[in-house]
Amino acid sequence: MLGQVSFSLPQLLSSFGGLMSVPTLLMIIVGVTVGIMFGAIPGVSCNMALIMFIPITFSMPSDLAMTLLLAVYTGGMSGGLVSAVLLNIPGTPASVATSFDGHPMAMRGEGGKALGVGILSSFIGGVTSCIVLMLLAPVLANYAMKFGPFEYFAVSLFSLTLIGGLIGDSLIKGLVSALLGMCVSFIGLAPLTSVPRMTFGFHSFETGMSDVALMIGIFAIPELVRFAVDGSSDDGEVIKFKKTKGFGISMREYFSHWKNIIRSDLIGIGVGILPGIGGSVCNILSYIAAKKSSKHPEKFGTGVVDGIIASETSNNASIGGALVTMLALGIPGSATTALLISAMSMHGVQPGPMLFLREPALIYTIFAAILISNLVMIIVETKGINIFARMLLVPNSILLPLVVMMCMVGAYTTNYSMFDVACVVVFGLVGYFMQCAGLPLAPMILGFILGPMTEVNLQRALQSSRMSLTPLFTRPISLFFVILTVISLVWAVFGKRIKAKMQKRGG
Amino acid sequence: MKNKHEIPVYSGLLIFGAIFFYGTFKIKPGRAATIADSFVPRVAVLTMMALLVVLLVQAIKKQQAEASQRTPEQKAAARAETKRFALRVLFVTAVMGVSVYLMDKLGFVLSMTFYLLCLFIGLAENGKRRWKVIIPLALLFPVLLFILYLDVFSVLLPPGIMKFLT
Repeated sequence: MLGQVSFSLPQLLSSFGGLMSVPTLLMIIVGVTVGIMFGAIPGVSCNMALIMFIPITFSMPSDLAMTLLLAVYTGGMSGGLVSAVLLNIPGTPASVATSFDGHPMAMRGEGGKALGVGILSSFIGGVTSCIVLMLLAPVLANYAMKFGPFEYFAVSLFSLTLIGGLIGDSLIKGLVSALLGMCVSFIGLAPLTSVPRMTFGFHSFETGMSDVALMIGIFAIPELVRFAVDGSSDDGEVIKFKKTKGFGISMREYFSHWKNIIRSDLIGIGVGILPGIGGSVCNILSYIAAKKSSKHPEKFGTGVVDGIIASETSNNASIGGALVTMLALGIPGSATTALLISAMSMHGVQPGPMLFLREPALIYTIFAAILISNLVMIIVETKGINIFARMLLVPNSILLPLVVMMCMVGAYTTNYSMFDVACVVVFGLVGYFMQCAGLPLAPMILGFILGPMTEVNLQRALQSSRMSLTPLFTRPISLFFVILTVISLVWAVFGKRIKAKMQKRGG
Repeated sequence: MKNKHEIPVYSGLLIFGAIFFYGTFKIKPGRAATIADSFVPRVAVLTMMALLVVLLVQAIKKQQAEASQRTPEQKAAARAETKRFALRVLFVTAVMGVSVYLMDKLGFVLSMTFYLLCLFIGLAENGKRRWKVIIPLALLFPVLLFILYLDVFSVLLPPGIMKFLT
C-alpha cells in the first residue's frame, strides 16, 4: 500500500528557507527578468526563453534548475502585457485580451495605470493559482497513485483528443499534428524491447529524436522564417506613458472588482488544468465572462480596467492549473509544461504521482519557487517597466537571429551533437510549413511527449490482462476517461453545429 | 499566412507517412512485447495519413473553387508572391544549413558570425541596415557567447579552427 501525500506547511517553509540565499534569489531575478523580456517582445516567446535556459540548468541540481525555469515561466506569462498595452500587439497569445482595453487606456494617457493593473492582476492570478496547486496537486496525486496502465492509457488518449480538438480551428488538423508528433517520437529504440525502429540504417536515429531539438525547431525557427517572408510585423508605435505612483490604482478601487478577480482566477486555473489549452484561451474566456456579467458591457474595448483584470488574472492563474496536471499526472497541459517535463527528465526526475512520495522536497521547492517568482515579478516589472518598454524598440531583424542562435547553442549542448543542431533546422522548416497549412504546432509537441507514454501503457496493460482490452471499459477510472474521450471527440466534431442549433432555437 | 500552401504541405506529409509506414515493416519482432513494436506506430501513421487525405481533398476542392474565380492579373500576382515566398524561405534555409555545416568544420565562432551577418543584412527592415550595430554584434556576440559558455557553464562549443580560444 502506498503512503498518502498531503500538503505540509512546515515543508513549504523549509523550502522557502532553502531558496532564500543571495545566489538563488539573483537567479530568480534573472529568470523572471528574461522571462518578462521574452514575453514582452512580439515574435519571441516564453518558450524560447525556456529553451535557452534548459541547457544552462544541466550543471545545476534539479531543485535549482526547476526554480530558474519556473521563474522564466512566471515572468514570460506576465511580460506579454507590456507590448499589449503599449504597442497593441500582445507579446504572447496569453495577453491578447489585455490589448482590448489596455491599449485604449494607453492611448488616452493612462498607460501607467493599465500596466499597473495588469501587473497587480498577474501577481494575484499567479499567487492564488499556486495556492490551489499546493492544495489540489497532492489530492490528485493520491488519486493518481491508484492508476494502473489502463488508466494511464485512457488518460493519454483523452489528452490527445482534447489537445487535437481544442488547439487550432479544426479537430482533424489538431489530430494530424499530434499524430505527426507521435510518429516522430517512435523513431529510435522501442521503449520495452529496445528494438530499433524507423532508423533506416542511420545510427544517429537510434537514440531517437531529441525533444529539445524538436521544441527549438518548432518554436524558434518558424518565427525567424515567418519574419523573413512577411517582413516586419511590429510596425506599431510604442506609446509613451507616464509612470504612475504605485500601481496607478488604489487598492480599494482595485478590489472593488473582486468578483471579476475571483471569476477570472477560477477560469484560469480550470482551463490551465485541462491538457492542451492554457493561457492563450483562458484570457479570452475570462474577458468574455467579465463583459457578459458587467453592468456596463458597452464600455469594454474602450479602455476599462475590468478587461485588463480579467485577462491578466486568468493567464497567470493558468500556470498553477497547468502544473497541477503536470506534477500529479506527469501529463503536459501545454507546450510550456511539455518543455518543463523534458527539463525534469533531463535531470532524472519523472513527474507524476510518485514524485510526491520520492522527492517531496523538490515538489515543495517548486511551490516555493512559484510564490517567490511572483513576488520578484511584481517588483521587477513595476520598477523596470520603462526598460521593458524601451526593449520593444529593438528590431526583430536583429533580435530574432540572435535568439535563434542561442537556441541552436541550447540544442547542441543538450547532447553535444551536431546531429541535433541539424534536426533543429529540419524541424523548424517542418514547423513553418505546417503553420503555412494551418496545422497547429503545440499538438505536435504534446503528441511527441504523449506518444511513448501511450504506447508503453498500452503494452503494459495488455501484458497484465493477457491481451484483453476489456478492463479499459470495466475499471471505473479508465471507463471515465474513455467516456470523456468520446465526449471530447463528439464535441469537437459536432460542437459548432450543436451551438448553432441552440442559438437558432433561442432566436 | 494561415492556410496557404496546404496542398504541397499535406502532400509532403503524406509522403513522409508512406515512408514511415514502409519503415514499420523493417522493424524486427521483439521477444518481450505483447504486441508487435510496429503496431502502435502503424496505427498512428495510418490514422494520420487517412486524416491527411481528408484534408487534401478539402484543400483541392477549395483551390479549384478559388481558381475559377481568379482573374489573370490575380493569378500572375499569386505566382509572383509564391516566387518571393520560395526565395525568402530558401534564403533562410540556406543560411542556416550552411552555418550548421560550417559549425562542424570551422567552429562555432566563425559559422555563427557568418550566420548573423547574412541574416542581419538579409532581414533588414525596409533595407535599413544599421552597419554600426550589426557588424560589431555579428563579430563580437559569438565570441562572447563562446567564452561565456566555456568559462561560466563549462560547456565547450565546437572550436573548429579557432582552438586558441579554448
